[in-house]
Amino acid sequence: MKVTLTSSDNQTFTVDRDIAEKSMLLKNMLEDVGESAAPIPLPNVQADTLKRVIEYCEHHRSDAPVPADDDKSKDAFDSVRKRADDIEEWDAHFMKMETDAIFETILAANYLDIKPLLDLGCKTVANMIKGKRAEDIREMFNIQNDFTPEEEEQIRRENEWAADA
Amino acid sequence: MIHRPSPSLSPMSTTPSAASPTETMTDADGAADARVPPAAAALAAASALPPPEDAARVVRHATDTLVPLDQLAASWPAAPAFMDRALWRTACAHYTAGAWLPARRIASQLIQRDDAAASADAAASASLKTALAPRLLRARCSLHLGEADDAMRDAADVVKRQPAALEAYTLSAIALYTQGEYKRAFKLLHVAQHTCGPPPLPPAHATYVAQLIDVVQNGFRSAQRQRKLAKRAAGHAPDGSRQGSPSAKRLRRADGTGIPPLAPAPRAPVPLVGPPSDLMADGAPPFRAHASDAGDSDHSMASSGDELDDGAAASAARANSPSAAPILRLPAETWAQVQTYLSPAARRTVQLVCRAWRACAVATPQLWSQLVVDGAQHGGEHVPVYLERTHGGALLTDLALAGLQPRVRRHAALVHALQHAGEQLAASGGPRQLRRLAVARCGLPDGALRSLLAAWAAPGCEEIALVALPALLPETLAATALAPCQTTLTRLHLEGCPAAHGLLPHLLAHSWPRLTELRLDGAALPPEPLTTVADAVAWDAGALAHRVETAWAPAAAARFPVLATLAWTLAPADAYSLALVAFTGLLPALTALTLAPRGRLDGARRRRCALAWPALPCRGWWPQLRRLTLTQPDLHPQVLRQILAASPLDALLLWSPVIREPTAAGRAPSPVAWADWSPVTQLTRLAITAWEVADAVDDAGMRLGEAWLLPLLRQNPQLVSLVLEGNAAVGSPALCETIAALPCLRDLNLSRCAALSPHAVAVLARGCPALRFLWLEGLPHLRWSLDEFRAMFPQCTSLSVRV
Repeated sequence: MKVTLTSSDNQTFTVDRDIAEKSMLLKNMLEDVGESAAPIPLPNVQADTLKRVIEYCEHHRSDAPVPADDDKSKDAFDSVRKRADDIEEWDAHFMKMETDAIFETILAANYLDIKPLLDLGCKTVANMIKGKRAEDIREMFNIQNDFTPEEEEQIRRENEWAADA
Repeated sequence: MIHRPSPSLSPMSTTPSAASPTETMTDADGAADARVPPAAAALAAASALPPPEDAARVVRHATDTLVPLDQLAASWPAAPAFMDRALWRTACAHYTAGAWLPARRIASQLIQRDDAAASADAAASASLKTALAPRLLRARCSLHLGEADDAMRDAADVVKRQPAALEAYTLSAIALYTQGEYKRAFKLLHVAQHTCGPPPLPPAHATYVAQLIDVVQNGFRSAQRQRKLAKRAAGHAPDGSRQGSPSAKRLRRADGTGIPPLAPAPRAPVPLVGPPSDLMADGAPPFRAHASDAGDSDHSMASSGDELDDGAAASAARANSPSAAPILRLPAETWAQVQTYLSPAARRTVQLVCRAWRACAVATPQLWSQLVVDGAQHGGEHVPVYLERTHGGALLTDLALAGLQPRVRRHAALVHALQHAGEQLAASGGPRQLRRLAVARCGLPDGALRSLLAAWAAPGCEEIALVALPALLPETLAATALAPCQTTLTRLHLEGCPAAHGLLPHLLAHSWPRLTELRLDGAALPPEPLTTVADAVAWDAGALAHRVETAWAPAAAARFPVLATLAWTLAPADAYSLALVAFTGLLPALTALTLAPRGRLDGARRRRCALAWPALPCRGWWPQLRRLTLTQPDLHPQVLRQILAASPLDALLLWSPVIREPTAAGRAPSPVAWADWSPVTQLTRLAITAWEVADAVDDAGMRLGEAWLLPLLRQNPQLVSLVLEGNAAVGSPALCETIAALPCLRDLNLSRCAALSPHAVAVLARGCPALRFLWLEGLPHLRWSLDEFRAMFPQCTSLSVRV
């Protein structure tokens, strides 16, 4: 069965249902609505982003579904920290895009509830941040430094106290 | 479509107050009531087309007195728009006054009328933009009446007709919240932030949504807490009622009620109070939400990895700032997820980027969970900051205190602050996260140490290190530091604490079910009956053997079932030491043993011990020992012999072995005389170094002869690492030939082996197929250049030949 999706700028995309169901949002919706030929509007996703998301879902269509609820114990800091460098080659290539496009993709993955794509996006951003100085991070993401020099100094001092600094 | 006095459908303006700015709700006052005519008169008056205000009163009175609205409408057919408006105003008045039921009844009437009219009008029907305001009002009434499902249905209807209706989203979120569906509510609110209104949301609305997110978070946390408590209480029973589990979701969909069929997390009390004035105040959020448990700040669980992060509200606010960089528009939980992939150091760098990220970092306790206070390096200004950000220290995982001195005023203040915080935590009785506690190099008196340890060494603590605390008393150590953590302690390190001397009786008197590593420095005394030097001197080997067999053996297995690593700084080779070494032989799980000496013994006492040792029942001792480290072990060689015979060692590290028996002349013969190496056949690592001593002492006592070394190497062909540094007599071509034949040898250190001749090195170079790391330092008579060495040992990746 095919599913038709409409992006915020009114472009329509027709995909197989199993691809659409990589998105938990669409999966739940399709289960609730049942068989319907009506296009599903996605007012939060632009056409180019949606196209990328569909490309990702098509590549990963045969992956095992991810358990939706990960209510694991996250007591220790160590167990919370995950590895960001275990990105598959295709995924790494897929995420080679403009910075803004990365965030659009993450927002879309979040809205559509596609956990593996959201994870991938987060890992990509983490890898961009890793090992950089604050100034570099600001420049990379176009973030304004809204600290006063005193505040910045204060935070730097705090960081020096850190156990593993 | 019927004309609606509230035509504006922008999300938040559907509050009834927007109906007509000129009309206030004063007609809801009791004063107005007095002037309202009875129903019959009202009907009569209605037929005469009264002015709007009077009509509102008429309608309201009619509904109050339960005159059927249909009847009213029928008697007033001339002005349907007027009628609608009057009904709407009345519904609002009821709502404002807190009369949810009549308000909902009228709202239902309005929806019916509107839908009926719309179905007659094809265009309106197609657009479906009917009865939005009444539906929202009905949803609110349903919420107040505790009928969350009805509220959600109405809200969903509104979203269908008007996708950007923020109020519909917030109402649904509140409904979900009341049903304990925190995650869905949270998600919905975030969707609302990005979907509704021309972005960004107007400030008042953004604040309201942020408030709601806060409420939902608190609900989520307290639910999580209760769930954990329940889980703990129920042990590991299968938890079918897990909130939001796939099975629960399926069931929910299946029965179509929207109520989790399996008992969800305990439903939080309805978080909404809707004081009428709030609703009517222009532009104000329709509900003032408050968390029923807002005062409960006991966040027992760390939650940065959870969807609901502490920084969410801050992030919600920043996401709506118009000039925000794209990365700042990421939802809070996504940003939290990004951070989980960063190291703590990178996370701390990240908080230097901008205020929003700083706020997020401050709200993430894991970044502040390792508190190090070194009095020698800084004044501890950060202590209050760390304590505050870890909820008073409840979420601290590591606490390390060093260099605190009693006469320094700010140190005293620090100690007091830490002690106070710890006591507060203990008094609150809440769970604590502290896993590692270290106190080092503090000249504090016992009283101060006791109060610090009492405040922080709580159950759950896994590692304790106490180093160089001269004033610590044995009772304090045993009762305050160790007793509370007895069941959870895995590693204990005591060094430079005289208190450790008397510790063994305490250790033996209790069970340490999880202790895997014990490092004891300070010549811990053996248990009864050997408590004084006099005892030791007058010591009877038979009594010790009896003691070991009857008392220690069962105790060792019962008290230290998993102790795998033991490092013991022993008194000299006297009765104490032998007793302690005997004790190590009884530990069932011991795999690594380090014995270090303190001081020396005179010959008379040593001889006494030498006589005693063979009487001990050593068979079957050290069953698991794989790694033995002796640092200048001035132990009786019989001990070494026993250990070698009993254990399948794979690493033997003898740093400066002074294993000798005094001869009549006061000199020691070669240590090989006292060790039987034949059982040692499985070594992968061997180190025998005498580097400092070898230069100072003549070869009769100190030189490591080769006669015993050759067979040892031959019977251990799987050696990977061999260190013979500093043994002046080592280095003959015969030895090198043996070494060169070792097939697995990867590391070789022959530095300062003065006897190593160029010819011997050439012999080495012909073999050693697996060699990668070679040290030949301090050998000035080898006159090759580094390049020449490289050419001789092309297989080596690392070559160190400094002279």
